[in-house]
This record gives sequence, C-alpha cells and structure tokens, in this order.
Amino acid sequence: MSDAASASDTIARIEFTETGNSGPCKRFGWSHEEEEHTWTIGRCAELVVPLPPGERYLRLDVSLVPFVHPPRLAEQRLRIEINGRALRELALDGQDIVSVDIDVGQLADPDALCLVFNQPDAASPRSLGLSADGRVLGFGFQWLRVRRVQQLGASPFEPRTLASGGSVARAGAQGSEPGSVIVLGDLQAREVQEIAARIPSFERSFAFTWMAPAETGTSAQAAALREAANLSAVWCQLVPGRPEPSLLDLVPEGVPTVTFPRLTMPVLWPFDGPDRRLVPEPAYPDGRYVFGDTVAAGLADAAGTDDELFAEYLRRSAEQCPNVDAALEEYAEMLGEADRRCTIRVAELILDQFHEVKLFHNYEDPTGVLLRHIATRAIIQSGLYREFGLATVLRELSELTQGYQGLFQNQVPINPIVAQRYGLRWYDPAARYRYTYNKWTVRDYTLQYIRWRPWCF
Amino acid sequence: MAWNGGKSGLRSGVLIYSNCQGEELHRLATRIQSLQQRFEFKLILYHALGESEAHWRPYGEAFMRNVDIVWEQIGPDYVEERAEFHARRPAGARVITFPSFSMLSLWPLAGSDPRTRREPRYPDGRYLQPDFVAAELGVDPDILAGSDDAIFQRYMAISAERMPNLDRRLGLDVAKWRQRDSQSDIPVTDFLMDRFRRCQLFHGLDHLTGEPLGVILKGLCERTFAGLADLDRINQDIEAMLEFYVGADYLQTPVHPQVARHFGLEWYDPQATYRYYANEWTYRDYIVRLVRNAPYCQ
Repeated sequence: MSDAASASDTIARIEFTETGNSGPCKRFGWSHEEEEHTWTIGRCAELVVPLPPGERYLRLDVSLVPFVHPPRLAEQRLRIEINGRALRELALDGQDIVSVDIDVGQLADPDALCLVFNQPDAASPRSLGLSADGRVLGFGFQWLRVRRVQQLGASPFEPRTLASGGSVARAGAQGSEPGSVIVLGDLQAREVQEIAARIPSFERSFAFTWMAPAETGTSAQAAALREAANLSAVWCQLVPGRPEPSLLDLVPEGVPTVTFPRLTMPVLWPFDGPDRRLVPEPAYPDGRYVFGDTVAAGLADAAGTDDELFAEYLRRSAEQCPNVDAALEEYAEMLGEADRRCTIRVAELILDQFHEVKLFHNYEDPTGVLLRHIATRAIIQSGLYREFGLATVLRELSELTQGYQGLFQNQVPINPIVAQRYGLRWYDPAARYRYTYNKWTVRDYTLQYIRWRPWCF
Repeated sequence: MAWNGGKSGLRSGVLIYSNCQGEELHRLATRIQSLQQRFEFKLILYHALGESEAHWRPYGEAFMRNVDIVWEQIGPDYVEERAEFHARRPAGARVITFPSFSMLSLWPLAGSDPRTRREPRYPDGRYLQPDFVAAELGVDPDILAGSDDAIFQRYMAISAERMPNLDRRLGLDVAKWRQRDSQSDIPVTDFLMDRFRRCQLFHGLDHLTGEPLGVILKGLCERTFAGLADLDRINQDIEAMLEFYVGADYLQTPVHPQVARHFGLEWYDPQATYRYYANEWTYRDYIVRLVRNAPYCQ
C-alpha cells in the first residue's frame, strides 16, 4: 500500500515508539514501548481507537514486524478482530503493512475500533534459545493509521457470527424507565455487575440487578426476570460441570444473553487440600485457615525454629509439586471447555497473561484484570454501549477500574516453588498479601498456617 | 471484682461504647483466645445511634444483662446519646475510659467539598475525607478539562500556597489529645508523640493502624483483667493477634509530601499505594481522582 495518504484523510495515527502516543489506546497484551516499536506479548493484544462521528469508509493500516527466528519460527499467523468480527487470517514472515478496509456502517458500533490481535504462534526468545528474554512476543507494532477512503476493497471479514444472535440492548429512552440488566452468578458476577453499574454513562440508563446462584431458578427470581421493566440484557455466569440455569429459558426472545465462565485457577495453588484442623471455631466460623495447604498441614506437628520449618516446607513443596506442564495442559482443557460453552472467552487471556500479570488472589478470586475483561466483553456483546459510543464507555470503564484489585480480601500467597516452576515474572517473594485485616509475606503466612496461629479478621 | 455475668451462667459482658475505632477494638477483643470462654465483647457505636427509641431497641435489658464492664470512649460529640447511654448502662458496671482521637495535622487540607452527596452507589458520598484544595479545583471546568498531569501540578502548586502552619496544627492536636487524656483511664498522647514520626499510626484522619489500637486494647485489658491469673497469656494472645494486623485501612488517605517532609515522617514512601475500598492508588492517582470526583469500584 502507499504511505502517502493525505493528512486531511487521516483520522488517527498511533505511533508505538518510545516517544509515541499509543499509551491511551492500549488495553492488554502489550510490552513496554521501545525505540522503534512495541511488542505484543502473549497470544492476544487489544487496542481501542476512537472514531469521530459520521464516518463511512475507512482504511486501517498497521505497520508491524513479526518476531521470527527461521527455521524454527519462520512466520507468525495474525488474526485481527474488529469490534468482535474476525478477519481472515494472515501469516507474516517479515516487516509488513497490513491494510483492512472497513465499512463503518457494518460495525456494531461506529464510535470506535476495538481491535484484537490474536497471534497463536507467539514465542519467547528464551524458548528459541536466543536470549534470556522470557516475554512471549508476537508482533512489533510500529505505527497504525486510520484514514478515510472513497470506496472499499473486498470485505476482509469472515462470515458473521455473533454470540448474542446480533441483538442489541436497549437503553431506557430519555425520561422513561431505565433498561434492566440482570446478572446471574456468584460473587464474581456481583463484581462484574458492580463495575458496569458504576460506569457514568450507564447510571441513568440501566438498572443492574445481581442474582446469586442460590436464588436463580426460584419462582421469585423467575418472576423478577419476567417482570423486569425494559429488560435490556442478561449476563449469566456458567459453572463448569453444571447445566445452564433454567432461568435463561425465560429470557424473552431478542434480549441479548451473554454467558461467561466461573473463573478459577487451581494450578497456581496445587497444594490446596484438606486439613484435619480446619473445623468451625467460635472466632472462626468457617475454620481458621480456609484455604488448605497439604504440605503445610503435613508439618503441623513438626518442631523447629521458624527458619527450619519454612526450609522444610520449601523442600517438601519441591518434592510434591506436580508436573506443571501436565497440570497446565489439563487446566487449558478446562478453560477451553468453558470457552466453548460461553459467549465470553477467557482461555487465551488467562493462558497468555498469567506469567506476566497477577490474575488471581487465590484459586477462585480473580484480580481486577479478569473481572474488567468480563465486564468489557459483556458490555460489548450485549450492545449496552450503543447509545453512548463504545469509545466513551470503554474510556469510562478504564478510568473507573484504574487500580481496581478485584476480589482482593483473601489473598493466598503462591508457593515460591510453584511461582518458580511456572515462571511467574510478576512474582515478588517479599510481597505482602492481604488476608482481611492482615498483611503478611509468603513466609509469614506459611508459618502462621503451619502453627495454626490465631489471626484477626 | 465480681463478674455478674458469670453468676447468671452467662459469659461476663464487656461493652465497648465507641465510634468506629471501637469496631476495630471489638474485632480484636473477640478473637483473644484466652478470653473467649469467659467474656463476651459487645459493641455500641455511638455515631450510629439516632434520637428515636428504635435505635436503642437492640440494646435493651437482654443485651445489658451480663455487662460487668464498660469500655467507654471519651469524645466531645454525641452528648445526648452519651447521656442516654449512661442512663441505660447497668448501674453496677465498672467503667474504664479511653480517648477518641484523630490527627488533623497530617491532613491539614481536610475540609468540605460541595460535591459530596449521597448517591445510589456511594451512599456516604464518593470521597469521605474531602480536601478543600481539591474541592476548589474540582468545580472549575477549565481545570477539569485539563490532563491528569495538569490537574496534579495545579493541585500541588495551590496546596503548597495554602498549606497552613503545620507546627501550630500539631500543637492543636496535642492539646486536644491531652485534654481527652485527662478524662481517660488510658492516655495516648505520649505514645502518639513518641511514635508518629517513626511509624504510621493513622490511615486517615481518625482511622487507626494496628499499633495505636493495640496500645489501647492492651491498656484496657490490663485494667480490666488485672486480677486474672493468666494476664500474661492474655497479653501474649493480643501480641500474636497484632503481629500482622493492619487496622482500619479500607479508606486510606495519602499524606501530602510537604507534610511528610515537614514532620520528617520516617515511614513515608512517596511511591506507596493506598487502599481505597477495592482499589490501590498512588498519591498522584488519589489526588487526580479526588479533584475529578471520579467514580471507583468498591
């Protein structure tokens, strides 16, 4: 393609260099800016480019270079999604400019381009024996441009598939009842609902209601669903191994229904298991340390100084730590199965990012990263943003969740041996973890647990 | 002393009458293992009491029946509620007093913000410790239209201009602490003056960290349980409980760097992040959000 587009046709130009302007557009899956480019890391990366109103035909140009090392990694495949629609797959073996023509009228949202770059062949220089760099690199982005064109080339999109059946949520008309959004699921779903409900654009337009699993399927909840005024969307958490809540059958036709998985990550806490000491006590109705640790439990009767006990704990952990590759493979299968059932996918994000970013506080409590992802996808898939524009809603969501920690109250430290074997780059052995009203290091927590000491909650 | 609760076959009641600082004392006290079988800790939050009889309903005769000891926090406000409490508490109960205290000199810009109002998702307002400089900037559309960097720079410039005489503010705090000490069985002023530079004692104006709460709790327990044979064990249990306890840190308010420099706060870390409900923000994040009155997740 020609790089000689006139400046007046250019709507946005994003430079991914150290002195560039890419920061506000990047969502997840990006490394730091380097002198000439920014690498995408993991298997997908997301970028949002706001569009001015009234645009019709656009051309997106992206200048990028794949991370390759022939012959072991001769090329990288790239699959771009624009506002939820997938483009045909490309394969790049060197620096290139990828161009895509877009009919804005065909997009679910004309206010912004939400670009997801999937890169299934991403690899780390370390895995190829090139350097100690453990980042899983996809493409080095140099610049991206969006410009107006008079006519379009052939459609770059694959046949349309929309999880929600293409329906679009309705906000309450001005002066009328707000639209209702019902969110079904456990505390994770409640958090997602809390995030969405606090987005300023939604405050007057949507009333969010959370229904806990114990309540779903009851006649009262069914009545609430049937009688919800101006039902705009239903977001439902699905639990692996359990059928979809029967309540979903009652969702009126045409109301967007979004499903997302219950998020767990047991592989990072492989020693979770029973402890004979875990019994209800007056001061600890659920037991003293509710997240079991079989290695620590095995040391319950051991004598020794703190240093000796912790050293023995680490020694036994190394001995008993499961094969991480096999565990990860099994976990990936579980995530894949969840993805197949749900309209919101999480497998790629979790598997790509867990080395780089903390995604869980304990095996069942996600950090803000994942909860924000679910909220973002749910908003996009159910079309709640339409009245306000995707760029506006995503900007508000981003500002709202700056520093958001997710379900952070019960942080269980990751065993140092486990962190090492999984290569968790964010892991800090000296970090302090919150457990309700306490903060302790992994060593403190482990010794407290072994000695079954009381604590304040 | 006689433990009336024990005579009636119940655990003896220790009633804490306090503001939110008492919530933390109650949280700690109920988990002291060596006391659990013998004592029941109860709580009345005086700032939550209203004028109507309905507010007192949970604290009727059944509630008061086994109360042998009252840990009463001394403070200048809620005078009518206190008088009502005095009329209702068991006549024979032994009263041990401790002070309520705050430290305004660490947050000398604390003031009111006209934007603070009840909202469905923020029933007490968005930011519970308003700052008059942030409030002033936050109603200026030109300021709000600027970048986060511009807002922060403006805040730092204006706040430096408006910074009150900090030594005078500390003097006012100390005078208030001493005055409360004079009415209390558990004095705190010497402890606060000795420690506030070396370790963080407050998360916000009146939200305490674990250390001052521990000092008060130990003082109350020593006076209350002085006759018990296992006082040493009780103290050990308290120490164990306090080892990793962080206090009431759900709404941490960052200290202005100029204040930290002036007082030579050894514990101050300019890069620290502060918890605000479910969020962790730096000082800069917090100030920009405060000026913008930005929504957040709880």
